[in-house]
Amino acid sequence: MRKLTSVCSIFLFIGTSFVTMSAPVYSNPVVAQDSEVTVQANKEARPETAKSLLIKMSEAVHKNNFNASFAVVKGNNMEPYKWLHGINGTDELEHLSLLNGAGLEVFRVNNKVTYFEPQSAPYTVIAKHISGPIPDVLFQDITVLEQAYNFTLGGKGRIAGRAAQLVKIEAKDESKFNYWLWLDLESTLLLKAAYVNKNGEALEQLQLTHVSMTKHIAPELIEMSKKSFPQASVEEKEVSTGDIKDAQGNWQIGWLPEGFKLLKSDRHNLSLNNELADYYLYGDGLIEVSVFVQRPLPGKRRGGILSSGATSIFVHNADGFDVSVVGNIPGMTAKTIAQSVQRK
Amino acid sequence: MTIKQLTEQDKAEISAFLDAEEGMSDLMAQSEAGKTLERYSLIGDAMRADDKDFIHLDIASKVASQLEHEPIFADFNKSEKNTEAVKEDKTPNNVVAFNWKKPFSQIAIAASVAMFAIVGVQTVPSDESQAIPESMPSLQTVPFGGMAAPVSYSSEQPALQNAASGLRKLQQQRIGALVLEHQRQTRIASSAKKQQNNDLNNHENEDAK
Repeated sequence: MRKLTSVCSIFLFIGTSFVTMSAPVYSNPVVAQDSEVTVQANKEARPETAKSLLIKMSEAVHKNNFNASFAVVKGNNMEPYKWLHGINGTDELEHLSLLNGAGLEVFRVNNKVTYFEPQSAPYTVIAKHISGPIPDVLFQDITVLEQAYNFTLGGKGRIAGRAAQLVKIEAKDESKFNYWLWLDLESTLLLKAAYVNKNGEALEQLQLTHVSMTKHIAPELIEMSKKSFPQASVEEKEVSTGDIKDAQGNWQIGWLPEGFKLLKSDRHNLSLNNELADYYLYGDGLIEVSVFVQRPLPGKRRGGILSSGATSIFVHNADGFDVSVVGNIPGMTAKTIAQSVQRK
Repeated sequence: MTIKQLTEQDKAEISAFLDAEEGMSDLMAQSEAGKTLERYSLIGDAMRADDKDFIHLDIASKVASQLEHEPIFADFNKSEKNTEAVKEDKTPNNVVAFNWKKPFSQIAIAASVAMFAIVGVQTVPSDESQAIPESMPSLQTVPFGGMAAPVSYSSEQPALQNAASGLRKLQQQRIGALVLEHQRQTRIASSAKKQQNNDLNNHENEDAK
């Protein structure tokens, strides 16, 4: 009965919002100032804050059987994905598949995530979430983002044929991108997401083209869960926060954006070309930034910025070593980080 | 000349005409040859249409049927006298411009219309394929983003090749490796972090209960 009334109120709400809203949804700067802006148009419904919607979304993603397709658009490139999720008894099963090119397959059975990529042997990590095009913090406790980001409500719109509410995760300073999400008003599932720069331009967009909620789990998922996957590698489980700082004494990273913490640091060979690198991984909960310090390449060297969608790479040629910064951050931020690295 | 007498050489002539390699010969004036012409234009359409929408406009027969109702100015099937009579009687205001046989003129016009149609189809896709300016020196299209990064496995080969021209191969390899490593480390390290968070959450949830 409660469900029924809430559905009714959603419809009422859509009705009123269509009448009252004349401006396009994306470019409504007035709404986005206060982190606790609430939905006021419908007094019957309990007011939803941006935060409560995000929490609802992270729950909805875990509880439902769904079958979705989405596309990630970066400039003039597009990557289509298929995304299946289901609950089989006590097991949570998930499958993410990149459909273009040689592809990428990610399977998750509860807390074991296995990545199949064309260029390396499959590997399994212990994680509650697939680390893919959607920042995985969105599938769990988003309150860890509150230190560096504000949550604000935007307008409403129609995405993938459904009524959607825009929720903005806005960086507290300009060194990071904002992340906008459009959530289904009915199911609070993610319908669209975008990395947005400070000028409000979307750099990388993710858009669901189809989503269907099913009562029963997709048979492919059950089939998949019966396969045997590689064991989670032991060495990676050994990472503990305690000795991270002692592991690396060679370099000093002078500047990082607010909220970034060291997640990992070591010296290892890169998996693709076996090149040795001193490696640092920083994260602020939403995004991660890698810093590599390597021997300079022979011959004439060229530093500079590369970008694709929201991802920036800055290669800095310092005196006797190369610093490369990779992450979903603005190019200027990557540059500043790279140039702040000094020999200890 | 009947269709049976149409030799391979004749067919080659028709084909050459359709490909605009040769002008029209008397042979094509024959109505049987006209059907061959139509078939060849169909084949040409099919070959040129690529994987776009298959386009065969039967323009030749449509134009021909239109021309059927046009007045005839120079019909050599009839006697010279009859021809003159037709000219004088029925269409005194028209000028006799062609000294060709009737089927030939029909086919000639029909074929030229058909060729325009084909040219029209061809130009559209060729414009599109050239519309990718790669002037950006910032190598926007290096396909490292998303998930499947390395260079040779990318789903976006053409874009990659464009972008690759500016970068030395070695550096590009390194960047590909860096991006892949970033993805990989993100997956691994975040999982360790998430584990701790989840443990915390579970405790909190239990407390809440």
